[in-house]
Amino acid sequence: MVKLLKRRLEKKDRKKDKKFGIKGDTDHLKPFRLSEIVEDNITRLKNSMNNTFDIKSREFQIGGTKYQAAILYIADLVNEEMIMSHLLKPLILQSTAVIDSDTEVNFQSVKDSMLSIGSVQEAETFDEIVLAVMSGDTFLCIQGYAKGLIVNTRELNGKPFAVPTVEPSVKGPQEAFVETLKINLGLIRKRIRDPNLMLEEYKIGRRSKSESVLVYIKGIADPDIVEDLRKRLSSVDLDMGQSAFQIGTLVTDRPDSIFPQVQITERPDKLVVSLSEGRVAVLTDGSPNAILVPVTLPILMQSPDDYCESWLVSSLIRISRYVGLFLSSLFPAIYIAITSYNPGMLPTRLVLSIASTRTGVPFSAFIEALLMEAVLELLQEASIRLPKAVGQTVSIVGGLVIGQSAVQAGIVSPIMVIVISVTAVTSFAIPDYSLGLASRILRVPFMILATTLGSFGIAIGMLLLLTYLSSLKNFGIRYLSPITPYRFQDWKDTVIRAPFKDLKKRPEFLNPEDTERSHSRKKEKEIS
Amino acid sequence: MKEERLMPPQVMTLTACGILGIDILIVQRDMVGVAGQDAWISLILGGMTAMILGSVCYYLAHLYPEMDLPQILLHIFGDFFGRIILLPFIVYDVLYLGMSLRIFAQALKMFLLSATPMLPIVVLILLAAGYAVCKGVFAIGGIMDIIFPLCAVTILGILLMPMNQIHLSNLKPILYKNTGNVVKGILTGYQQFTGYGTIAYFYCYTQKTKGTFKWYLAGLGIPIFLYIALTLITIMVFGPTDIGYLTYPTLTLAKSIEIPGTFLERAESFAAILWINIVFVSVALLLFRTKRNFLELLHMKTKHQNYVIWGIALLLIGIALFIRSGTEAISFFSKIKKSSRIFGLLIFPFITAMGYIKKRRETRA
Repeated sequence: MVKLLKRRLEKKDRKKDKKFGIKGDTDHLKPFRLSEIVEDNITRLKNSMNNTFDIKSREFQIGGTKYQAAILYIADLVNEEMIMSHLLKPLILQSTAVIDSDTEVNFQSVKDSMLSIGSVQEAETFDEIVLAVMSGDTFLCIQGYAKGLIVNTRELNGKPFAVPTVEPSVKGPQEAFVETLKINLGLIRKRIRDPNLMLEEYKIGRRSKSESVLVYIKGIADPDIVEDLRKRLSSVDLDMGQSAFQIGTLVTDRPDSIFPQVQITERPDKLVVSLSEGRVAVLTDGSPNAILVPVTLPILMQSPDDYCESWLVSSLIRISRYVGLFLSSLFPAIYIAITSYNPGMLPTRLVLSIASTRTGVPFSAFIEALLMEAVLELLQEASIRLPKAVGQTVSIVGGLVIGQSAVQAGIVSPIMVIVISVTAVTSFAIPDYSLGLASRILRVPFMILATTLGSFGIAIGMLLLLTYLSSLKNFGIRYLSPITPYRFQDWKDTVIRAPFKDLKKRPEFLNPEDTERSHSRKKEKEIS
Repeated sequence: MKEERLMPPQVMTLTACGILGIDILIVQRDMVGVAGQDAWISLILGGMTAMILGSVCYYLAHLYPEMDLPQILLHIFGDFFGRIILLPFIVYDVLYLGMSLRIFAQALKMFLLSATPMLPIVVLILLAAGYAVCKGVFAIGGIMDIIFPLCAVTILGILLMPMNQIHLSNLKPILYKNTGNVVKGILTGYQQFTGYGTIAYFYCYTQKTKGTFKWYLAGLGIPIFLYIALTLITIMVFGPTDIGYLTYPTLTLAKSIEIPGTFLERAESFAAILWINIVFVSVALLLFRTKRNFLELLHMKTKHQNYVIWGIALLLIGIALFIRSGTEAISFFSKIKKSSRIFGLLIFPFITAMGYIKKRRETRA
């Protein structure tokens, strides 16, 4: 009878989940209660949390008694030292002292006398247990009792984490991944208390046997993408699997592309948002970065700060980033094309002003731009390699001293210094470092096209580039999605960022299983 | 992985890009040459005809949703007769494409690259279009999605900027002793929009939903609106007599725009650059059509398509540069364009009727 009731409840839940996509909620576990059998409880709890590899359990006998007990916890979130010394040790070893003192060993005595931990709560239903375990608590159950104890063993505050350096944010969280996989998984678990968060472990590297973990949310991520990535990860053949990028390159369709084919992030908050959109991540032990797939150009243009400002401000900033991307690749080429082929487009005064500044410069605009570009690239490279303090000095020496001297010596024109400086500044507006590098690489071919064929050359170059980008696919998703193919629903969070109340659906182009981010109260009433 | 399909809104961009093309530079002159100051009325009526015949073409594609035009022809008329009917399509597409490239190179030389020979211009645009066709239908769809709004906005800009130069008197007298010419002009107007036939090549790759036809109609309607507006504004700015002397009225209209005090004083170069995009999409779509026709005609496998594409490209270079005189080239181009009426008014409705009969027989059987 009970089984029948449970089955009916499960069926109702599944129906509910299917309709409104609330699989991530622990509410649907409310009707499920603990049984008196320890083994059964542990198995069912593990299953309800999808039995990921970091869920640990330990069955034991309370010292000196016939009472069987078990604990369950998530290794990434707890202080295992605390579990050992304040939970397992008293229960297994020191409980004999309690027994000797003639105290009856029962649920209450375990709770009151055997655990030397601050917070201990009783729990009976699966929803509260699962939520607690996913928050870093440890669950303890004893044979013969249809209830258990939730013991506070959280340790997140004490774990070290880094500050984002490659992807800094003004208002967003200031946490970054570190080199230890366990801590990184903890940072993710801390943010997603969803029993459907899936962690699949892989050993990569024939010699290094590095631990890599495939992370996604079951019920959101497209199963085809997950399966595809699983196959690719399994087929990675490396001697030493060291960095996330190395693995990322090996699992993509087009590793030779100058455009990033995986998104590399050091930010747990970014990774968590991406998982909630239906993307899949891979973390590797020893690497402070995670890779995210699938990736598209508009995704690379998003920044965590976009979600910390009003939608209007965020949208304008995003648009400015696209302008930055365009100018970063094309500004020197446009300057060369206009001054060499179509000076008539510019106002006469401006043309005269440009011509006068170029008087005495021995090089053509193209050579001039190429020289300045080479110096700029060397300066950027030098400032990365040098220690931070010296790096700033190099920037000042390069930017101010060399630029000023070159102009005074008549090697380059002041307008070219402005053009290259603006180009450099615009490239810094691109939020993804790898995409910024791609835009820098594109500058030179466009400059060559501009100097040989003027604006026609730039147009042809743009068309070839557009064709290339349109043909690129990443895990079955077009690289320019959702700009093209048109998905108007997804445009709300692409070039602009619509108000949060309008972002109720997950991006369609990622084919999420559960499309709804939130559902209206009206709908909730309907299902209840 | 799920099978990839073109989204219904892409039907709009592909149809519109199939219609927009090299003609956008000369549509006003062609129309004014027939219907004078009432050219815009002919264009409206021609546009309406195109909407009706375009729907017939859509119906044909809808009858055989998993086949494109050459496959439909072979299916309806059999291997031999199907190929015979396919031949005129190939000849028309190749000649139209070759002459489009020629006109494009000529105009570009006039407005942007006066010292550059025509050969590199033709070769480069073919290279870009050929590359797009090699990348497949979904890449082409993606390019159209981005280029189409840019082109539409630019044309709207060209339409709105010279508002201070328009003279309503240039449109008068409306329909005064000119009704006959207006009626004659309907055919000339209609021929500007025969690019709707592109749907017969792309429908088989499209996700079929209830809204697909609406998107198709939008794709037909937008270029019709833009052409009508462009003709109307050009007549109001230059007058019907002057338009007859202009080689490329649209570029001359853009040239007349001056934006004093801003960063860019003259917009014609800017318009010419965006026009390169319009020509590119048109060439890419025609090249795709020609490739498909050739593949079916020669019964070749898809894996050999790149040879076909670059082979056609070589043929097109020859056609584009064959005629030496620019005026002769324009005149020949006009003649080729006129033949498009035969396809739209006769061949497509005939194929659709035959397709309908065949389908009914198949259903009964």
